[in-house]
Amino acid sequence: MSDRTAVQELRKGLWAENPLLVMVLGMCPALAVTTTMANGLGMGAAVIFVLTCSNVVISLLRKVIPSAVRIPAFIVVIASFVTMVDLVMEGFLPDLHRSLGVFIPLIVVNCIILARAEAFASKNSVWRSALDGLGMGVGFTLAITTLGAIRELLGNGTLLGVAVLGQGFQSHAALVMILPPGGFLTLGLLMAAMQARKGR
Amino acid sequence: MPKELRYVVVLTLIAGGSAGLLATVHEATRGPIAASRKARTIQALQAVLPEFDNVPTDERVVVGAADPAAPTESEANRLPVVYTARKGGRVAGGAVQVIHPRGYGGPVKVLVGLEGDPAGTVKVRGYRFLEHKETPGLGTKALEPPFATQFEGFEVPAGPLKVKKDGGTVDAITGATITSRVVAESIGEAARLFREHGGRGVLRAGGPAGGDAAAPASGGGAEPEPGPGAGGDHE
Repeated sequence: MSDRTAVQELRKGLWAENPLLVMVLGMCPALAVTTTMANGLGMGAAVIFVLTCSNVVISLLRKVIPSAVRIPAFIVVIASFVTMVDLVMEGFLPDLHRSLGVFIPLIVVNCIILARAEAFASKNSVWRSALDGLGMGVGFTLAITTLGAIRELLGNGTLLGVAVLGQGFQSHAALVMILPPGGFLTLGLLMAAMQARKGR
Repeated sequence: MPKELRYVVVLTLIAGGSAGLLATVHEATRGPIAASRKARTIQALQAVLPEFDNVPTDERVVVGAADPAAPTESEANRLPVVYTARKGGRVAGGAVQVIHPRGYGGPVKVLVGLEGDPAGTVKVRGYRFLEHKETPGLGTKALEPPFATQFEGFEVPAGPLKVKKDGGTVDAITGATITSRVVAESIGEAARLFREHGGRGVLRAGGPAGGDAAAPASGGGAEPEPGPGAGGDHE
């Protein structure tokens, strides 16, 4: 596992092992908050922070934590960082905090973060774990931002809140794209496109 | 060291470290969080109130507060609040914070701005969500035209306000009936509370007789009751 270069460690999360589109982890926030592109970006930023920090701390503690109690130890570390993000976001970015709502606290149970702690950070050096967390976080962000952009564009005719498809489209926007089925549809098509490219 | 003890020690240390870190962050963000909540309320008040020259946040009634003359901040946060706006001493309108328990994503805290006299006709000026977990881009359409504009200048009748689906008069948003219902019912409730408490400042706050729903909890807050346990304060 450690014969990758640092760049490869960082890049694997972006494409080949993309947490959302290839490993299919973190579905709950990916489907629930991606009604707008801004939500995708905000959620992604929170996940990048939590994932990188928890990977670093768990890697630092990997020789101290007995394997029998590793899961509760990981969860405590992850929950602490998530709570920090929640508090800081409410204090300094109240609008974003309001629109992401309950999905910030729910990062605690996001499978990506526990999966990286268990499968990577608990077995690798601090430096590699940080790169892994950053890469996976950015990969997740790219995927949910794309998802959010497509849904916002088709469902509301806007991108980042700016009207791009004109009034005529907006009054007949495909409401279904904002609703849960639109999330599944978009995600499925994105995953299919990803598979098609990889299979070539 | 036996391994069970090691488990306990390691977990305790990790939990303790986390607690310390969180306490620090909580301490550092408490000010900004309180400020941003307060700023949101003041901003929302200015947006929904008619022109005023008093300080509406000073002239408020927290409906159902244990001590109506001095409600605590936590009560003002979770109970209905009626703010009165005055122009030249006369009541020009008010804003009412209503907590609707059944939004799509949990309770919704709505601030409804009203114009008029508590004893006369009451018109809606606008409304804001102070706290909510409605679906972004869908439930939140309840804050945008054309849904929001149907309430501008709307004369609120006495009695509850309902959406058409519930046999009322308000057009709901397609796909967001629940949030539409929250808005309609909150406006009806706000008008009711304003008619009851509007223009009565902190000093004359409604008291136990005021809010009928909250009365049992707040009854007896001010007057000593002639009961077995109430006579002890003379000694």
